[in-house]
Amino acid sequence: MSASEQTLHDLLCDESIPFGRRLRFASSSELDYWEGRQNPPNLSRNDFVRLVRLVPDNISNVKVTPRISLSGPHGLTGEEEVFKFEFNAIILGSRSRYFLKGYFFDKGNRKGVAIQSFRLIPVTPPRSIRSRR
Amino acid sequence: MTDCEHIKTSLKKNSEEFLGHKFSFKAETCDICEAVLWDDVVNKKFQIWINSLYKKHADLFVVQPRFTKQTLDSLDQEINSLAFSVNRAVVLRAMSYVYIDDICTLPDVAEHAAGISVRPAYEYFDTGPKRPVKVRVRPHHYLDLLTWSKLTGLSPARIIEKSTMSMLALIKEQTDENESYQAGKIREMMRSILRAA
Repeated sequence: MSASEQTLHDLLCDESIPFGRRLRFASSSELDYWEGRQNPPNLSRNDFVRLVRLVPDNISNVKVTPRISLSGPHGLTGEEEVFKFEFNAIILGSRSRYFLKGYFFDKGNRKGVAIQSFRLIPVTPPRSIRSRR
Repeated sequence: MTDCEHIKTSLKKNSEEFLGHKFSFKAETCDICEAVLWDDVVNKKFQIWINSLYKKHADLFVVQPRFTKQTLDSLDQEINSLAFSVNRAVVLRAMSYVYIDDICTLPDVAEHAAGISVRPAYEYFDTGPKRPVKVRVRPHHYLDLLTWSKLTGLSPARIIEKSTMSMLALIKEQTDENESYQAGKIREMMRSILRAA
């Protein structure tokens, strides 16, 4: 393992660095991205690359679950746990909420991230009033 | 709503349409949800493809925002205050970058910037007859504009209009009201990105 890889691994595992920032580091290093899913519709890799800059540094609602899939170039070498969380972003005054799910790779030598799902969370419309029907 | 983990995949031929042209590539595809793995190899191919598209058809990457006379005058004033020469199209590109990526994400400015479009300084730039300005954007910036366009429902040209007027309005507010909305900081960001350009 070269010195530069060691440094990146240390950086991506450093718990003192906020999760959002580590995610940005990882995605700018190596990124596997699943896009084009129809149900529920996934955002594109280009959208992710631009929106990851708006992920807040400190994310409090990160959930971790065991990974099921072994597909993709880093499916076998990636970490065994999947992270998922939601975040808000405001773009030109328009506020949206997003769901993000993925895992870091490789296990024991973090150098990138695989994003399995990245989508807009639909806004629930206010409940209609019965008298308006 | 479930989020597929792409357990069963196979290598398939895929294509994506961009500005009326087709980008074809082979990639691992999920047999269950049909998601396509866009990894760094595919991404590199796409970057090469889009750059060659730009070289052959630069006219496809032209957007036409519309501005009032007072907006263009203020913009030229800002350009003249720079210590180096740069054309209007480059400044317009830089303004949308700085506004969306930096101003809107600065904790001390974002909230103030979010409400700018309903304040008098913005209305000053938005009121009156407008004329179109041709801006040719680089592929990377065009992809940025497409993402913001998809997420806000605004056209790429409208995004450049809004970013430019918001930036100028934030600077004008500083001058008018002597408030601490960091016009200096905004100008500093602009200068650094323009120097790089």
